[in-house]
Amino acid sequence: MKTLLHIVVYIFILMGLSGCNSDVFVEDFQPSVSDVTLEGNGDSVTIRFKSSNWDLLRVYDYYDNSSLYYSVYDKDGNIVSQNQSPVLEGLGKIVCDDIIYKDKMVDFAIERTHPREVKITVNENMYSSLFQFCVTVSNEYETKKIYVSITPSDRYIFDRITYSLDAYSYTDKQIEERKSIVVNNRGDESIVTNYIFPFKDEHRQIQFTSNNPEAFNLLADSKPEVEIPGIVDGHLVMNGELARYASDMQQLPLPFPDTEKEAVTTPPKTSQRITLLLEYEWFETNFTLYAVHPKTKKEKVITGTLQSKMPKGYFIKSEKLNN
Amino acid sequence: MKTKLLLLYIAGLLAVCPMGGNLMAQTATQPDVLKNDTVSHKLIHRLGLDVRPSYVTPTNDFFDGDNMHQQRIRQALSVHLKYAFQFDKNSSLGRLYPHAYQGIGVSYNTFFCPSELGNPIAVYAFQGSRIAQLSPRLSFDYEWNFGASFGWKKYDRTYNPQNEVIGSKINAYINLGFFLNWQLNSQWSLTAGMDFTHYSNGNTHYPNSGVNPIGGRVGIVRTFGDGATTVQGFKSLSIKPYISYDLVVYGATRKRGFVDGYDVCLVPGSFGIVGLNFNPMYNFNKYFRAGVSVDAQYDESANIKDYRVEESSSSDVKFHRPPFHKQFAVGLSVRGELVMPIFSINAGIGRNLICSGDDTEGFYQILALKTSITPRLFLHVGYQLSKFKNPNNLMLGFGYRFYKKR
Repeated sequence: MKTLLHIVVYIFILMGLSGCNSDVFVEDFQPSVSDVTLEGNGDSVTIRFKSSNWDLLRVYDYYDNSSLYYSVYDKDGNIVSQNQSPVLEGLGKIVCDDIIYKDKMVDFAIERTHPREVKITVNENMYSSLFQFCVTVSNEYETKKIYVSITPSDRYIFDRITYSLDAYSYTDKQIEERKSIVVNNRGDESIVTNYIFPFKDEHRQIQFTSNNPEAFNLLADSKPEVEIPGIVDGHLVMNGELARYASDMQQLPLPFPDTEKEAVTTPPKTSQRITLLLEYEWFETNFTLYAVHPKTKKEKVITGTLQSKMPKGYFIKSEKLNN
Repeated sequence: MKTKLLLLYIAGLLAVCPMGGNLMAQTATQPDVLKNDTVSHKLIHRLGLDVRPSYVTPTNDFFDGDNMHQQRIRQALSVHLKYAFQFDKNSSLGRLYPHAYQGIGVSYNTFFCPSELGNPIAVYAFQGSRIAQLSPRLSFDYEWNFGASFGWKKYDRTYNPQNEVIGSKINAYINLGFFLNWQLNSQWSLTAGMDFTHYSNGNTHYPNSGVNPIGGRVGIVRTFGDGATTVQGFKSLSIKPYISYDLVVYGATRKRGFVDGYDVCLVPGSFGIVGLNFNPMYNFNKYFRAGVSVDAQYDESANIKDYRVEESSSSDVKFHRPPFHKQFAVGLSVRGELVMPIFSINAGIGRNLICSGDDTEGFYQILALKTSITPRLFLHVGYQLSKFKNPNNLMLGFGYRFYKKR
């Protein structure tokens, strides 16, 4: 009986060994979440996996023309690569950076701290909308995706703005034709006089531009009033003029009265075209805007250019016309 | 490996047959009233020769001409040489089962298509007995054969690509015959009748649609020894009804395939199966017992299609291991068992009650051969279908019979 029992046990062990079809089974490394939303003001989440049976971690941020790039570090903190398609193999981390802006708009890191854990840390999202990306983890056979959304951070408070007063582009010889009238004096004796107001309805035009698409969404006050420079004696100086910090074209009043006028006479039996030509002063300079986060007191820097165009003088051209 | 296990079982089964003479006072079928009948009695030996022409049922296009020779395969022929023994009519088993004989046989089989199917040799155990005595010299008998057949030409993607019926070189051989037995004299008898045969590998390899000949059989049997007489006028023993309890533990391996779009995906490797049956049965008489069985089975391949790794290709398919409850099922089945010396044939229909997933839900059917090793211990060779059509798995194991006399 004992021998028979042994035979039974041996046969079942044999069956067990031959029966287990482990080659076709792979461990499932399903993540604890597949969709997560994190606070843009600072947040983190640790995602746990059912198994550690994966080795590659990638990040896709959906922003084709993004200036974002990623630095990949190994577990010892050595940088492995820097590119827009980061791949982390094994333990280590991927940090979001920015190749254009010194101060990145979105700041997060993904770290594989443990074979079964990935920690996503968000510092901020200065974009005005959700910043979304996808973390994929994969092995030879499958890929799991984790969709991550970062809510917009609180907006910054304007602190100050500076301009490049030493290096700028400038011209005061920009002439543009503004108005043109034709006067036909058919009288035999009388002289016709026309008064031209060259600066009437004219403005100083200024515009802020930036390559950073979020440059004008950064601030809590959407269009704060900031000081802008002007040309004095051929030099760019700060002279107390104010404008809104906004991306749209602004028309400011001229710093002098627009009542100046000039009489243009047309003799009898004469036709002539009277054309007003304005002479503009134009400059372009770089600006740097500093803003502070109301909670973290972190300073954010936005750079761009300011363009200004203002009429300074005029010419009136009279051309006699043949009747 | 799977085929070797099957062979191991069949070898064990065949080995038990010649031992049968010595087990005559030990077989599990006997009631306690005969337990002390240990007097040794001579066996009655028999030699038989059968010729069995058959019609191959066209269960696959392969038999309808979708084969290398583009010809229908309809005919089969086998020649059988068989040795059997009967228990002496004065022995306890001889008195209980006066017409039963059992033994081992060997047969040569041909389907007249040796290049694609081969000409397999079958080695098998068999048992037969009388169903009805039609006249003093004529009886209506049955006989079953169960064993292994060797020498098949199996499916091969390169060399035998159209053979979609045989997936392994060694296949199980199952046969059931009904025939008239004409006792010519005390030594010789002639048999003639019909039989049904099934060859397959028990789903241990793919393909496994199998071969199913139906045919006639004619044979001649020579009986040796002094007791080689008919048992006419002999009054056989009967038993009092009692309840016995069979506990069977079995295992097996199986293949698994599933439909993947327009393709059939065959999962590489073999999956393990472990099962347990607990079957209280009421022994109505010496030939028949029946009862309800609690059947538990773990199938490593069950419901894996729901856990396929989507990105894995059909050529390298991978799965996540399903949770235990998706691969384990417990069901109840109704069992009936034909009881004969040494061998019992158990058949059942059941339904899983504790289960989850398509592969374990629904009805299952069981056919098993139990071969007694000791009065209580027996070999169990069974096969399970699911939903009346899907081949499931072999059930190779051991059983232990608890019983008490009423």
